[in-house]
Amino acid sequence: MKLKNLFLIAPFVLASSQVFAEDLWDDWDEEEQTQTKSFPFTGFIENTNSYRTQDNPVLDEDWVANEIRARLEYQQQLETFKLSLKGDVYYDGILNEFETENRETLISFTPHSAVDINIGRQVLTWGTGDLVFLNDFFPKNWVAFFSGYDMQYLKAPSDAIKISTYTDAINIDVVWSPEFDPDQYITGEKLSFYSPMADAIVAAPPKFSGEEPEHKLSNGEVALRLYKTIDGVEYAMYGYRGFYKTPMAYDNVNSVFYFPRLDSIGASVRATAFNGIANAEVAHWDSRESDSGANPFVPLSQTRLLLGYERELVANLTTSYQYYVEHLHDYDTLVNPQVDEYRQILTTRWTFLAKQNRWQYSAFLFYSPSDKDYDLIANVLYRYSDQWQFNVGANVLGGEENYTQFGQMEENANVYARAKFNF
Amino acid sequence: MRKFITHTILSSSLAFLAMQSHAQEPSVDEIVKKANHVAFYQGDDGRAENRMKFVDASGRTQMRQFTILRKDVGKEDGDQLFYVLFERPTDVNGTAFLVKKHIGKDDDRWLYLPSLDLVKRISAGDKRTSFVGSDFFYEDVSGRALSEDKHTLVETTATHYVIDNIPNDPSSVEFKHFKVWINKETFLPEKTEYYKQGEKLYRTIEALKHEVIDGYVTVTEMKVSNLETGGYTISQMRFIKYDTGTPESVFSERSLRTPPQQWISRPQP
Repeated sequence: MKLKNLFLIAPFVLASSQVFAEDLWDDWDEEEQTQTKSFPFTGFIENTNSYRTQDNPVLDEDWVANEIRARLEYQQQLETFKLSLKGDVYYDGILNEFETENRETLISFTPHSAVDINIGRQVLTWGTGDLVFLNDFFPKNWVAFFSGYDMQYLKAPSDAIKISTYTDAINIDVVWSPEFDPDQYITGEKLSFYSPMADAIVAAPPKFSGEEPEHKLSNGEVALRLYKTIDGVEYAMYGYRGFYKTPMAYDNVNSVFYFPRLDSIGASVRATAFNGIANAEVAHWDSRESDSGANPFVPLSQTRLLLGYERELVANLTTSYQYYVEHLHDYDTLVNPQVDEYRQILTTRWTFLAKQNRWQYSAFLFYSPSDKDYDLIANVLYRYSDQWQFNVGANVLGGEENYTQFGQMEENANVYARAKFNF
Repeated sequence: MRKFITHTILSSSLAFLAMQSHAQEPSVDEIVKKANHVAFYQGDDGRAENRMKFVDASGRTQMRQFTILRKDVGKEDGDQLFYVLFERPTDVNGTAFLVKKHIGKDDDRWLYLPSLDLVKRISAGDKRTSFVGSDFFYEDVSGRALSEDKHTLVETTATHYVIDNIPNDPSSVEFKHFKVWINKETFLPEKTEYYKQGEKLYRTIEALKHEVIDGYVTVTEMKVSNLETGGYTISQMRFIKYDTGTPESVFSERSLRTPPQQWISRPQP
């Protein structure tokens, strides 16, 4: 019974709650400002337990996630730069091993009044989509996303240099990752997936992996964003030169999957409209090795389009809708295509807050009318106190076919619970 | 209609009485304008550290501590910019909030979540929703446009002007009307009472403490009580400074991702 992990750590949590349960309301006047404190260590302890709700024919393990994690964060604002560290230690109760994860090791400084530079390991995000990514090529953790983890773990850190320049005419972000940072994709260890080779749902062993691009400077990734807000309307243009973030291509000669070359350009706009927020985003994904569809072992180039709208319906109830479409270029080159030329997804998110935001009910639904598959993420958050938070939820996945994005995940559907103690 | 007439007669006779007793008594418009200025527009800009304790009916508490920057950009107490950087509790540390308040159209609001490096735009539809879970509404923090209500001076006491405010668009708010007690000397709104249908008092805001800072009378402790839920929120302000010269460029996406240390830092005494 893997839940014993929780009991192992419980005494520590209780002890630390004694240490940290100071009344934050006292002694404010005498206290130093948080950002200038000399040793501001903070963090949390959180367990994530996700139980598979269906029999999985290729995975014996009933748990999708079963772990306890401790986070330590440290920030130091010095005269000329800021240092920020975030690290996790966790026990993975499925693989039965301790692991560490460096989430952030970052030095930030402002060499010129109009330039900010961030060097090191950092989480990066841009673009206007809600759980839909067109121009954001920063690494994502899809295992965490489907397994009931806190949503912050959807974003995996990059090892990068980010240079932000601000001018009256335009703002420019350039992110350079000297080494390719892939997504944390589904390997079959905890989640099963569709294998086009086997034309079936498979799982580890063998663990699925792709061969990463050779570590050399010319295989680094460059991401660019130009943006400006005019009268409350946010305009942005994006560029990316790098690789598909998951091993989408097959090397016929060496019989390995790999990350094929990808270039992309795109644009977005976001503004208030109809008592809410409207956004639109486009991207053109140029699959460099596709050769207009002549190479059948790499993905086809795509044009992606997203339209979104969000508004607060009544006090504390917010809804949003997105329409997303991927157009496959050179569709005619496909032999017996399984997918539509236009893959469409509709999403809706509903969030309701109650009792001084102690209760947060949310539901996010992906539904693809072209793939005929779906993913529902339902979550209830209870903020017992500023220290203790509890989440329960479900990832309901499925579809008509076993080869679509969510359809292949049907036997990974799960219910999950998390308890978090902040210190 | 009859109510309106009574109201008008009542208020005009009160105004007449007031005029007799005090020849220089200001008009209702002047009172609400001055009070609005004192509550939300003093100085060209300002910074403060703020913390809120929200208590529910069973006595359980939550707290939020943040630094807030403000800059006035409109003509005559109009548009304003706000930047809020959360420090506590630790799970919201680094969360930042940017508001471009517009008179006559929807505000622009952005929220930054540091764990995802995500700049999220939020719809400003309802200004009378909770500010970060507290009993304060967004509107209590950033102000309510004077043009949204019809103001009537209903009473003048030895120390206060009592103004009644009826919304022009009753469907846009949860109250029927609200009364404000404005200090005659300082023009500080010291108490506000919100009434629902049937004259049911359901919500109060009280200024518990004030000080003169940089020459401006400033509330340093406030309490909002929700009489329906039994919950309340106390807000305290410290390390307040006016006219810091904070430039408009601070109120931007840059500051969401990288806090503007120079303007956030506590002023040296």
